[in-house]
Amino acid sequence: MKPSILYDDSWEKTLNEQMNASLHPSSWPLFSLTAETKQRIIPTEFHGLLAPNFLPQMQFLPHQIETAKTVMEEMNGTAILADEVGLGKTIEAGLVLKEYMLRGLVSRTLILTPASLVNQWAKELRDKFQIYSLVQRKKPDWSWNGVQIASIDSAKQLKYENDLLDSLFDMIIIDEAHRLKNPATKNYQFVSRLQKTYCLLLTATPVQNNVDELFHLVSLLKPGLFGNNAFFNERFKKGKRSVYDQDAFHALLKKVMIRNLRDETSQKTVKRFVQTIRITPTKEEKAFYDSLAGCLPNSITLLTLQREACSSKYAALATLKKQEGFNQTETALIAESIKQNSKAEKALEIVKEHKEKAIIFTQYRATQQYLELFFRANGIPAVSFQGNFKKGKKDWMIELFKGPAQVLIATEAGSEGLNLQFCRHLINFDLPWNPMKLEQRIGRIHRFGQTQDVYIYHLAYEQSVEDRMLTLLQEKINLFQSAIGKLDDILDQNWVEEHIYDAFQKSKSIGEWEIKMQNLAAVLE
Amino acid sequence: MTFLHSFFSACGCTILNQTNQSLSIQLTEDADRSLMNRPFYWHYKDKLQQKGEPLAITFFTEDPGRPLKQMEEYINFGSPRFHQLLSYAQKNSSFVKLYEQCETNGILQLEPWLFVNFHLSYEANGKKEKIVPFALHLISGRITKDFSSKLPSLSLEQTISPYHYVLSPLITPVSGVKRLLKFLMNELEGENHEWASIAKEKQKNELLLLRSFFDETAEENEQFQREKAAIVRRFEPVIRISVLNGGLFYLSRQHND
Repeated sequence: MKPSILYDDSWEKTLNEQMNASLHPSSWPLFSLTAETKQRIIPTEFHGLLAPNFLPQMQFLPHQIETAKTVMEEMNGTAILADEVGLGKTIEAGLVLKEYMLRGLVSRTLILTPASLVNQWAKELRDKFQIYSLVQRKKPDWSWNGVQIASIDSAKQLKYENDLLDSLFDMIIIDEAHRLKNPATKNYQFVSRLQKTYCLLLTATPVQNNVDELFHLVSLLKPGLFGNNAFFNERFKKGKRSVYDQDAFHALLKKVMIRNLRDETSQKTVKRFVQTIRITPTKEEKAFYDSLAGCLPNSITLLTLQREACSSKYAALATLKKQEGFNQTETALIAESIKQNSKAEKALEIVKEHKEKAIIFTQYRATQQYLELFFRANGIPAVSFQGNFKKGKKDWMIELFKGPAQVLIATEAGSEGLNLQFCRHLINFDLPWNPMKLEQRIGRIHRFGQTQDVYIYHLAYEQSVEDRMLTLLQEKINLFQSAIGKLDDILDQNWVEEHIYDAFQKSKSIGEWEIKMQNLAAVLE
Repeated sequence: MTFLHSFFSACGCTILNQTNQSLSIQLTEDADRSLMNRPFYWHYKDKLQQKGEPLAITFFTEDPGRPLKQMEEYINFGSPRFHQLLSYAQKNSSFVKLYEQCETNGILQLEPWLFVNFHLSYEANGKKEKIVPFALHLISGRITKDFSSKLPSLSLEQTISPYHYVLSPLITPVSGVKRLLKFLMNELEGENHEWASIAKEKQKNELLLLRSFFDETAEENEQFQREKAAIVRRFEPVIRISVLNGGLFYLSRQHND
């Protein structure tokens, strides 16, 4: 087959004019220099990567180079990059983008990220790839013909619809793409209507709930890979959470998705030390904990309340105070009598001992506020970090943490995408419901770019629900993690997750939770 | 580094200082206007009819290990600055007219050549490029491919020496370009275009896959059309030809073989 040939005759057209012009500034050295230099930098082969040679200051990891190559050569620039947290998805995406730009196949690019990551993307592209991007803020100019970064929420607004949907993007990159799993949402519809040539979706957790979501995510990228909806339902879908014919399914999935796992990459030099610290509660704390059963609100299980109490009395009180007449109960009196939080004391001890930066995760706002005050009162500068902070405030908090602050206290929400490699101590003040979240927390510091060993501390009160959960999780954590992390089990993981969630939210007592988890473990084994 | 040095000397800028990792340059006015991105300054100076002062700049090819000061820059093949310099060079060297200067006692005649660097770009689901230099003797119509190899040894000037004269061409340069292009097309005809067949095949498969996602009314579906267009763009094989640079060279007889 002979390809069509297009000839650009602009040089020929100006030739007569050029010949008759009296002035020819161009000399032989410049003429030959241009030809020689051009010769040196053009891609002489379809295959291989040019970008690493153009970025001599960057040290790419083997799996990152490999991923970028696969995306270019086998996936033709449409791919889901689903590496585990902390292996450098952004770097892989940047590498692919740079490569396409160097080859002259891509210029107009749209990068959509959560609002909190917009500036970080711009910075990484600039520092690592020498790609200078336009960050679209309040008054965006979508006609920009280079790389532009916007938050998906601002871009999808109705008023920009015409500007965005009518124009063609050479490449679209979407970060945290697991948010695009439901075709009924505005985000999904917006993205599916954008006109693009190449497309990269980045996500660490490709599927959180069910088979359909994976189907929709893939359909966004490459409609038809799994056939249409009806075909998919018939051929692959087995109930909500698993598939028939795993092999065929995964073979197809591998055509659009790359998932590097920490174990497989050579990033083993950084070690992780996990330490569980069991803390003896004070008499008052113990009494408070024991009295909870007596004033249980209707809508809440005792287990939930106990977990709150394990975090801090404030977390539990935030729930309890919603009841009328709570202030007269005995529990309220006991709460009054608690003068210190043993966990906070321990956390303080750890921070003081190492004199290094530390990040503390808690699930509860009340605990977060308390801890911030507590650390400040003890002369240690601390800042809070929350998902609902505005973008500027988030950036500022991180800058503070890099600079003067020694402790960052974060709630779960908003921790996605944070890069805190400069910190290597992490304290889990309370436990998230899902081992996967635990991994995500740790991924903030144990990630690509971390050069020192990382230390993780779990804090738990002795003989509390937390203690028992931790014991069980520790026993089984490998089991759960292996079920959750692997590509081959990517769908099976979902019912695991659902069971864990169910066990956590619906169990009335710690006993029930334990039984449920044991059952789950038994099934997995 | 060699590039920087040749580039700035070729542009007539003065090299102020040079080490293994750095190069300081006094820019010319033209280079400053084109490269330094300060249109307001030049506009202001022009309005006042004053002579502007071109800047001096220092480039580092390796990290100097200290923060850069003003008018210092780190440069490598990935830098936008590098690409800016290259495109400046390209723009200013797209056409040349050069005369060979020979040591001679008598009068010497120079024969006209048309020399063109074609830039070929093979595009499909990937891209490769090459530069193809061709030269055409504008009297005999002979085409040669290794013309550029003998040029570096010659002394080429922008003006003709008083003791030389040129033979007028029988073929006009414009029709000369057409001849070279035809020659190039013939060469392409003979090339192996397996890459294009492979890309076409991939494109066909992708389109089949896409169609399977929609029902019979696919052609009417907006999303189908959109995805189809994307697949066509991603895989359609095409060869683009343009001229990187070229020009007229007047050389003495002895080089015409």
